[in-house]
Amino acid sequence: MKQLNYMVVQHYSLLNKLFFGFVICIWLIRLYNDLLLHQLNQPVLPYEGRDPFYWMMVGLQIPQFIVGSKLLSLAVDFLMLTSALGSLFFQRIKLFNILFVLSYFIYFFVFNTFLGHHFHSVGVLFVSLMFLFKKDSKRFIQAFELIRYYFYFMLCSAFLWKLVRGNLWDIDHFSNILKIQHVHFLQANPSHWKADMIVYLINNESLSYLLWLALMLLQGMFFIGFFTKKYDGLLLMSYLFFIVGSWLFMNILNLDNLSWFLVLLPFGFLVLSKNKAIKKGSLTP
Amino acid sequence: MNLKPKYIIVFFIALIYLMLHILKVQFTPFFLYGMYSKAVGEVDTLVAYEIEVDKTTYYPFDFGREKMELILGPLDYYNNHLRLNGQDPVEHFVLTKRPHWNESELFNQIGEKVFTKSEELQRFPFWYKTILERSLSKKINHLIVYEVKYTYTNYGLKTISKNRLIDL
Repeated sequence: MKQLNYMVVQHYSLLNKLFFGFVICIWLIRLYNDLLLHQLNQPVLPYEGRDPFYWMMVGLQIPQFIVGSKLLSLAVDFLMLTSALGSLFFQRIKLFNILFVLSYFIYFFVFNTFLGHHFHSVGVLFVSLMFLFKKDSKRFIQAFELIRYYFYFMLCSAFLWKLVRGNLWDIDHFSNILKIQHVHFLQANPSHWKADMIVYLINNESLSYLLWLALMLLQGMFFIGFFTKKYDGLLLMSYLFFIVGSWLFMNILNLDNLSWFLVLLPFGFLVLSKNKAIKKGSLTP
Repeated sequence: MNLKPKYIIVFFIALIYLMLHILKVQFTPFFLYGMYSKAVGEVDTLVAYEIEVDKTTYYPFDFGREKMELILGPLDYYNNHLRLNGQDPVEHFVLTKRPHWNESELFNQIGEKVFTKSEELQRFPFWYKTILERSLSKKINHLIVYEVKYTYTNYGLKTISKNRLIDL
């Protein structure tokens, strides 16, 4: 679908502004919540997990070295912000994009090392890669396509994991997950309306099972994207429902992962431009 | 057959991904997306935390969704160590799967560099106190952190036990 690729290139500047504007918002939210590296007060307990990459990093003392120095951790945070600002206002200078990818990746793995959990919020990390290339380079559109496929792979892979591990036949699965997922919420807000909803879902395994199936289906739909771009609009809606569902039922709202919307937006631009053309009378519906 | 380099790269990435999926091992940046898919089974006991700061009780959720990551994640990881009498949970997992690695010199050498050291565990409560002081914007004179075990009833949570984790 060449029209869609054309839309991507034509809206390069807007996509860039939306992305880095959003990244700066995330940075500010993290600053407000004391989640930047220099605000972690030199944490002491690194979590290596079952990931050889983290074993190497922790073994080489790299994350410990970065957070151990107030100046160095502040430099990473500052570089992340300034390179995002540079990428936003000086789109042609690709050094800013390189510095952003580098500083964000450092932030990502150091943060994960000391938060006791390896988060899968990789939206910003992957989407930022496409802006390493200039608008007029062929590689930009190739990078955009690759990242789009990776995003679809991510959701399809999540769907397949659930399928292979037999979630389809496990009626209690979501009910049990809800118990674990919401223990802190139920502990702090036992009389909140959302607590009533969660308790109702936990007690009604069939209903929670159907919701789990719906969430699985929203992920599985992304298989379509590997074969055609015609239904990117449908997938955009699907991802929107998935995000809302995750927030409502699982209390998950990962800001970084909202940046994946960017790979679905060109479809929206295409629809808008067609509607404009229809209104002008240059195109028949 | 003259394959373009980009196809060769994609082929190798796919091969690495396939291997990691078979081994069920994540190797950043090759992320695995199997979260929430593992069978949970019947949940008898649920673990949460209660933070008492100068006789005022806070729950991790009181700190807000974003900040809760910082309040809860490291504390949970620390508690996992305490449950294993100070052993690193990852080390424990590996040795449960491969007990003979305990004899391996290479594994022990890697472990010395990678796994949690006892002094890191001892320093944790002091670091955690500074994080809470920053989050609450006040100096803490007395901090107690409890691990609270709940069971789920049809109406919500019911406390089973309360265990003191940190007392500073």
